[in-house]
Formats: sequence, C-alpha cells, structure tokens
Amino acid sequence: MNKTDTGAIVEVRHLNKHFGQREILKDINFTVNQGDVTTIIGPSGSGKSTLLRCLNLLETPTAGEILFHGQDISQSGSIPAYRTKVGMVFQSFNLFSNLTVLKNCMLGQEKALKRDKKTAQEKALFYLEKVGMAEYVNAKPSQLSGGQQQRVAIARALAMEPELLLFDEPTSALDPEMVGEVLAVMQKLAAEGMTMIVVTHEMAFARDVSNHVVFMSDGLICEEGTPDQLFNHPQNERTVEFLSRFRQNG
Amino acid sequence: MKKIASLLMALVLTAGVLGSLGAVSAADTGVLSDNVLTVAMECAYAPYNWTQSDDSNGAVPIRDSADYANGYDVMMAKKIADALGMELEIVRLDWDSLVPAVQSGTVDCVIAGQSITSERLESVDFTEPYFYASIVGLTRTDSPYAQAQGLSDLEGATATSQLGTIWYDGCLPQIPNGNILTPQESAPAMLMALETGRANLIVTDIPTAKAALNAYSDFVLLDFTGSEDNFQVSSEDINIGISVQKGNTQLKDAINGVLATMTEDDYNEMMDQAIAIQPLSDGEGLPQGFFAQIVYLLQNYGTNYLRGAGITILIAVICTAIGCVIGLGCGIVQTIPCEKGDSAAKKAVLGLARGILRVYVEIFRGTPMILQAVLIFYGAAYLFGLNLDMWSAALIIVSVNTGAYMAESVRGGILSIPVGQTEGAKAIGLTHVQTMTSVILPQALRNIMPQVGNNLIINIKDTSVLFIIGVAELFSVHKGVVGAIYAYFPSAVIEMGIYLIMTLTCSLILRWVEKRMDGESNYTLVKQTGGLNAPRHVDSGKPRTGNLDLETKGEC
Repeated sequence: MNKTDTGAIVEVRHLNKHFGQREILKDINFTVNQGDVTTIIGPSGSGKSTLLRCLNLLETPTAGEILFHGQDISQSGSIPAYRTKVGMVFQSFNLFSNLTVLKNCMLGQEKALKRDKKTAQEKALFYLEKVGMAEYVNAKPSQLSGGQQQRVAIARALAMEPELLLFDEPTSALDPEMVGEVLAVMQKLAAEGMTMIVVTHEMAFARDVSNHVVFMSDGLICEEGTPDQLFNHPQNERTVEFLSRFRQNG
Repeated sequence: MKKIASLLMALVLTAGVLGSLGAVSAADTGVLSDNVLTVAMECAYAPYNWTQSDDSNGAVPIRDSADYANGYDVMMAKKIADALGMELEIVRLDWDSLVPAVQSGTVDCVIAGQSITSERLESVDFTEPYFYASIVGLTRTDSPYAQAQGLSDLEGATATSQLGTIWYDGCLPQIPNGNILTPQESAPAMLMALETGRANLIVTDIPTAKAALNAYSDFVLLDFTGSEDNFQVSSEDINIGISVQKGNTQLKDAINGVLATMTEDDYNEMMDQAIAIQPLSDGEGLPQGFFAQIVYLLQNYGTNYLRGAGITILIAVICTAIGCVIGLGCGIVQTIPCEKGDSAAKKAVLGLARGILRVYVEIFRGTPMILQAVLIFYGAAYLFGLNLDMWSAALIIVSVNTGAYMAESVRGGILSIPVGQTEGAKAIGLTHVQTMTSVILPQALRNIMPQVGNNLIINIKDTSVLFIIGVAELFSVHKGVVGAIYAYFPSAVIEMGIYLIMTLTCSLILRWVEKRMDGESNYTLVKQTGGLNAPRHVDSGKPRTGNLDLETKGEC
C-alpha cells in the first residue's frame, strides 16, 4: 500500500498508566502519521485497549504525553472538542439503545458539531450508505445483528468526519460470520485513506490491511514495524511466541 | 393514634423557647383580632359533631370542603360565636390533631367532646365544662349482659372502648374479671366491635350511646346512674370542655362568660336536640342487610365518595409528578461524576449537595408520612408562626415524600444504564450534560417507569393519612360517614372498591405509557434510492444476520 506521509497526527511519548498499584502501560512511545493504518496486536491483558482508550481520554494517563498535531491533548482545553476529531469504535458497539440508527448517527453532529438537522441527516445517510446500513435508518440497535450494529457504530464515528479513527477490538464480540462484513468496511475505509488505529486479534487484517503493526505484551511495546517485518521476520522472542500460537490456532 | 399524638406533642414541646415565643405571638395575632372564631372538631363523632352533605337543621359549612358540620358541638359553637359577635368557621380535623392544632394556634379552640383530663391540661387550657357526660355501657339484646342491673353483673364480659378515652383507661378495668380487648381507634369502630360480636360490651358516654341506639336497633343501653354499683369516675373525667391555646385567657374568659348563662339542664336539652336531628334519627336506623346498607350509603353519600376520590386522585397525580421532578434532580446530582482533575470548589459543592440530599432522602423515606404531615402542618405554625393552608401542606408533604423515594429510583435507573452508553456518547464529543439529556436519562426514565407507577399507586393509598390534617380525601369521607351513621363495614367495602378502581386504572394507563415509550417492535426498511421519503418497504422486523456482500454495492 502506498501512503504519502504528510506528518504525524498522533505522537505518544513516555505514556504510563496505573490502575491503583498495577502498572498497565509502561513507557509507551509511538507515532501515527496521516493515512497510517496502525494495528496493535498482542495477548489479552497486554494493555492494548487501555492504550487506545488513553488516546481519546476515556482513560486519563498517569504520566507521559499524547500529542495531537504536536499539541499535548491534556493541555488543549476542551476534551469533548478533541474527541470530535478522534472517533472511536468499541468492541461492544455502544450504540445508543434509545435512538434509531439514523439518530445515532446524527446526535454527535447536532450536539457536538452544531450541524443543522438537514446537514446532519445528509451526512448520516451518506456514511450509513458507505457501511451498507442506509436501509436500516428506522431500526433500533436492539433490532439489529451484531455485525449490523458495528457497521452503524462505524458510520456514527465517520459522520463526525474525524481525522483519526480508533477501533477497540471491533470484531471480538461478533460471531465469525459477521466478522467479515465489519472487516470489509474497515478495509474499504483504509483504502480510502482514513487514518486508523486498530486494536485487533484479526491477524489477517493486521497483515494485509495495515501498514504499521505494533506488538504489545505486559504493558510494553515489544516490537513494531511493517507487517512484513513483524509477521515474516519477527525479532523479539515474545513476538515469535505469540505469532506461532496464532498460526497454530489458525 | 394516641401514641402518635403524644409523640408529636413531645416533639413540639421540646422546641422549648422557640415554642413559647411562637405561642405568645400566635395568641397576640389570633382569636379576637380577625373576629372569626375558628373551631376544630372531628365532624365524625355523633352526636357531638358529624358531617352531613347539606345545610339542613342549621348545619355550618366545613372550611375547605363541600360538606357541612352539625351536632351538639356545632350548636354550642354557634351559640358562643353569636354571643361574642363573631363569625364562626368550622375546621374538620382528626382527633389526634385537635390538641396540636390548638397548641400551634392553627385554630382558636376545639369544641369536640373532649374530656377535661389533667393530661390534656398540660398542653392546652380548658374552659368550664360545656357538657357532663355520664358513663354508660352498651350491649346487644342477645348478649348475656342485656339485663345487667349494675357493674357487678358485667363480670367476665368481653369489652372494649375507644383509644385514649377515660372509658377505656378508667372504666374498663373496673369490670370484674373483664376480658379487655385492645382499644378501638374511633367511636364508630368501637360500635362496630359490639355489632360484629367481637365484644359483648362497650363503655362510652351517654350521648354517644343514645346516638348509637338510633343506628343499631339491637343495642341495649346499660345506665347504672344513681346506683352504687356503677363505674367510679371522677368529675374531671366526665366534664367535657372547650380547649384553647395555653395562656389565651382572653378567649377562655369570653367563652366561660357565655357558658355561665347556661345550666346543666340547658346542656342536656341541647344534646337531646342534637340526637334528634342526627342522621338516622328518624327511628328507622340503617336498612337491614349488607347490600341494602351499601345501596343506602351510595344513595346518600355517593357524591361525597366521588368528591373524595377526585381529591385523592388529584393529590396523588400532582404529587407523583412533582415528586418525580424532585427525584430526577436528586438522582442527577447524586450521579454527577467527580473526577481527579476537578477543582476543589466543584468537589466541595458537590459533596455538600450530596450530603444534604442524602439526609433529605433518609429522613423522608425513614419516617411515617402521617408524622411528617402533622409536623409540617402544625410544626410550621407552632415554631415559625407559618400558617400553611391545608392544600399546600398536603401537596408539599406527598411531593417531598415521593421525591425521596424517586431520588433513589432515579439514581438506580441511571446506574443501571451500561457504562458503554456513556462512553459511546463521550467518544463522539458529547459533554456530560448532553450525554445525560440525550442518552442516559431517556433510557433511565424508561427503566424507572415501573417505579413511577408504584409511587403513583402508593400515593393514591397513602394520601389517606392526610385526614390527619383535615384534607377531605377519600378516606376522610369514610371517617365522616361512619362518624355520622356508623355504617363502618359497608363504607369500608365501598372505599376498598373505589381505591381498587383507581389503582387498577392507573396501572393500566401506566402499562400503556410504557408500551408507547418502547416504540414499535418492528421497523421498516427504507430503500435509499429515493431518500427517506421513498415509499417504505415493510420488513418482517427480524434482524438480518450474516454477511452482506459489500463489494457488490459499490461506492456511494
């Protein structure tokens, strides 16, 4: 994949996160450039999700800094305003159960971006169309399958037209049949040049779609590089061990 | 009830200095300055006082009600007011509220067939007696005591009387080997106990007994007056007096001046008149048979029951609504997140607010509403000279009470919303307030709807304690009806029916509202070729599962 780097969107420097006595993230450093599709892989409990949640301040880092376009986000005033630029897709979709599909995709636009109703509806429909869910505007989340809900959640995030999209294990709560439909949408977004950070256990996606792979274990980044480097020539012992298990399991 | 009254008195009295200040100021501004003599009575204690639905026989309107009061007390009150050149206002209050009402200055005096006991004299001042009520027994014609000639003939009788009276406390223990049952809450209840056979003997005063004979043709009066073999009571116990606020000698002397113009014979004559114009005094008594009695009640008091039901439902609905708003506010404050980065000022204000709300919830959830009602209504007058009108007091009490329950329900409702909903809202840049109003509260409100329903139904029933401050709701109608014509059981059945109809109707309405809130169980698929306005294709509504081939859909 050819990506033209137009500068770093996110830089993470010496990030630490403690939950009480437990150190979840230890001195995390990495950079995401415009157009990058970064996947974060690693065993469960390695701190991948916590790292992602720190990036849009759903968790407050204990130490270190996160720079967004060179500016420390903890110093940048309004957290809600920052979050409108950094979309998030959750493992459990987190669609608003009291609102229809359409309203789910309009709420943030109207409330946070102050877009008028007509614009918000047009954008919502545009992105729902993109994820193949435009027919379902009238449905409530509980009436949809998991894969459908996740695609709506992606549309909801896209409708905010963020500069960066975070995916927190977006397919882990789905049965295998539905994983494909969500990955297809993500693949399409990547192809369109969306900057994404994806925490995932889908190794095929990491290998084939992302241009940058980060392997985490025990709160540390053990290794990072291109998919080719990581999957075909892993240097770190933990990476080798993790990937071998993944290969055995299919 | 007696306990409630004495606890109340204790509470009010402990107010000490403040209390005496209040008493003085009330005495200064009350009574004679406004030229209206405000008299409290139960309006449910025939023949002393009762409720009737028209102004026949010189009945006087009851304040804040469509009913009229009549009876010996009303006749006496009219006489006093006339003699003093004052206007008369009758206030209907529960028996237990009479002393606090005169103590707090809410009313000028109580003319309600109260005995002048030393206990009461500690709380209020009494005029000279306005009636001498000798003590008699009542039994049924079929009881073994129907022929009793003296107290000793009553040996072993199963007996009861009214709570908090000299009849129960002083006379019943004099029955040799008497089997004394628990006291009854009112005179009608006591008569009911005799009629149903739970008791074979009741002890009361002669007016009450004579009035009861009007309604119950199978009752026998046992009057041992003049015999040595009679109940031994001190004159204090049978002297019926008018109570005024302690220290209000001005009014007391004025009333005594009027009483001095009358003799005991005048009193007895007036009492006979009262008994003669009492409901059911036409000699027919209540119709025989349960259903006949129900029909009789509905014919004669049907509008009273309906009016009472209307007031009950109105208070319940309004107060549930206000209570929900209060609860919503409290619940929201209790669930505002307090994060590490927040300023000390925010934390302090939030902490203080939560502390206050916690105390509010615990106090109003943790004490009986009947006590709150009396405390707010009379306490405000006694301590602060603040004379709340009955309706405001009723609305405040029930709303604030409902609010305390709803606060916890709302808090629970908010906490029950999965944290993912909040995170989803935060992630698209909503503020805390926006998250609450657009995402969390709509869901929380849906979840607490059953609780709202619960509270509405509880309120419909619990407004019945408002009779204590004189609100003419449904239960007080029952008290009025049985106080006038003693039809205790049929009236209770009618009331049960009305309450049940009201609560069932509310249940049904709430179910319907919940259904509406849940919205359609189906949804329609919208073909996007023509936008949202295109003709709708109705789908089965079942979620589609499986892969949709995105590749073939192309770019949009």
